[in-house]
Amino acid sequence: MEWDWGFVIEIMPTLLEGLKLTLIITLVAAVLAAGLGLMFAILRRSTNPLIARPVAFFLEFIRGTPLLVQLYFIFYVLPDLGIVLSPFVAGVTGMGLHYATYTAEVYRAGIENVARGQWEAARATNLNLRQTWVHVIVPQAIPPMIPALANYLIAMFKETPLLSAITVLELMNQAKSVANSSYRYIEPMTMVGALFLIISLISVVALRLLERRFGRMVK
Amino acid sequence: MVDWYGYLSLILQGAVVTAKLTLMGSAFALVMAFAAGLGRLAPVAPVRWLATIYIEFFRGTSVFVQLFWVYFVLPFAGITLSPLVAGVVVLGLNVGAYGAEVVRGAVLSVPKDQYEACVAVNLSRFQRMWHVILPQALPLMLPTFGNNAIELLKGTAVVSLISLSDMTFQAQVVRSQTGSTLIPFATILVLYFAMSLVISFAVRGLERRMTRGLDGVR
Amino acid sequence: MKTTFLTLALLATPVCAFADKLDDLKSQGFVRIAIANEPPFTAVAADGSVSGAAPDVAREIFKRLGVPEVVASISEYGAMIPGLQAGRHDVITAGLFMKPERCVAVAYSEPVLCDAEALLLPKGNPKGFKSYADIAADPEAKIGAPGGGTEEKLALDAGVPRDRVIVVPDGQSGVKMLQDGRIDVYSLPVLSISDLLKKAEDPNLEMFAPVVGAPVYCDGAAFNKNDTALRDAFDVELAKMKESGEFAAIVEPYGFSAAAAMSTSRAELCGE
Repeated sequence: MEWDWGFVIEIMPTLLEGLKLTLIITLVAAVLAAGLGLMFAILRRSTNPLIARPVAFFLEFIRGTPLLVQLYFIFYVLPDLGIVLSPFVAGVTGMGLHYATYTAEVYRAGIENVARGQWEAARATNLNLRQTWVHVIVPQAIPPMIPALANYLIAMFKETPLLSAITVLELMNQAKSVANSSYRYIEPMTMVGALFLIISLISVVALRLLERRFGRMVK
Repeated sequence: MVDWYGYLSLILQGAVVTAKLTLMGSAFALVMAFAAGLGRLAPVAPVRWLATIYIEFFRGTSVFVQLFWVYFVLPFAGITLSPLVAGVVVLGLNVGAYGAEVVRGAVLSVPKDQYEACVAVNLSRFQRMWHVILPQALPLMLPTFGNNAIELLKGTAVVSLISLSDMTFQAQVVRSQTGSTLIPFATILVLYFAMSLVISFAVRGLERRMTRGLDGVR
Repeated sequence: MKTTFLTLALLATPVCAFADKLDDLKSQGFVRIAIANEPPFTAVAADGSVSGAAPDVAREIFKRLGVPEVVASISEYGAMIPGLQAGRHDVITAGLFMKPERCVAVAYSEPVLCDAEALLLPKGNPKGFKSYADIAADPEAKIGAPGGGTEEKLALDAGVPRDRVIVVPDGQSGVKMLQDGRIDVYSLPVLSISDLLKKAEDPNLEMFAPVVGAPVYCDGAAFNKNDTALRDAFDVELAKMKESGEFAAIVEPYGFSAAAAMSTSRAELCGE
């Protein structure tokens, strides 16, 4: 089988459609992961063991099991409980939830990195718990952790092909669909790999810039 | 009556394949991690370049895509790997690339005076690395290696998509035979979790053994 | 780096041995077949054993050719031909229907299993679907079909846009997606839908068959284009079995019509 450039040109528009959806999924899932992760991190530090323990177990469980299986669960089992999510929503939720367990760890490191003195000072100046979190701890905890968070953004991007298993028409699925109807796997698969690599390399450069800007703040 | 016992044994067969993939993949990843991690610190520039290209390439591409490529495209170049070998190679290369950064970071964080002491005592580069630097760097690498091993375990689920009969694949087969999605998938989720706990405990145990006597290394 | 590697590997590739494929299989003791796990065409049981009309016919014929065992790998339809070309399996015996474009890509045997197309629908067929064109005409309707399969192609050709043709990985998923309302109709050959309906035991589902405007298709065992000698040997045994009635004895219990397969030929179906 020979490489056919004509075929590549023919399938590029379809692949780019898939890439667009891939990027959208990554961004939405990233926002979800960033938000949920912070919430999980805060809940995990709760002084109430009835909250902290189940949350900790839940996080360990999600982190210790494959995203693919979690996606199957959300897509096929939840409807039996009455929750029917569209493939896109199911995929974004699954990914966001899975990676929230990772970002929760990142936030935890960031929060623990904030000097004890800050907590005590907040107590001394009579700030309540919510004010302490919002105005003192979080603004200091987050910025040094931004490079680590961005790393997970890239990881999420690379895991989007898993969503093809729950019928989302992202890049990998488009490539498979093209390959199925033309019986050629060489060009679609190579192009998909190339596209991922290009976007990834761009992200790595952006990541290095972020590290330079924020990384200094880690003790 | 549904033959649950038969189906459970199918899933357990898949679990054996998953365990095999995880062990062999981790071994391969370990080798690659040291090769590339130390390679990036090599005095010879081409070696450094090679290591960097390998690391950036595998950290920048998706495991799923790589698996498909190795499975369907590579045979045309004359290289036909069995699904199992393809899985081990791809997963090992991927996790190895992440591990390489860990190796590099850990080796770099060993205090400079250790290097100077080695020069003073007239140790060769190899002796220095093997007898002094690595033993101190290893405990630092272990926790992250443990995480990487768990990542590899989770990564094995993707090989089901190239029809390798791992645990996820067998769960799909059971699902198609019984019509139930909940039971096979819940079962394998529990099994995966159990396996990841085993890895965590093993790594923690290894850590404890390695830091015995290495008081206050961190 | 990738290109140099590929070139070196290509230069090192040995030339294929054409006629000795059967000898290789005989000395190996088994033949690798690609299946899809879509009863009654192909099926995998709890103990891992492979059955279904297509593998049973293949097993019998290969036994007569001197290859006692059959090792099956489950694959998506769309991945079967690339897998065959990449040497992942030796033959496709999965109900992969013969069509002119497929005939160009592989070497088919004479026809084995024939079937018409069917639709799996909610009870009462609320949207009144009778053909793929009906589905195309309804702007909201989503149809599920296996990736790379005939039904997918028929739907796309009838005008259903790509984003309304949902690739369903397997039969169970298709039934579930229909029950959950993710798709409005699931399309497979008649016998496959019958089998799914029987297993699903869901009174809210029904089948509509045959799909109006869709032709009856037949599959054949598909061999790599280089293995024509093996394909010809296969055809010889297949013809003998058809003559003697043994072919009918294998496929009819599954519901297939032996007469349909015997009344047409590869030449006709491939449009030669």
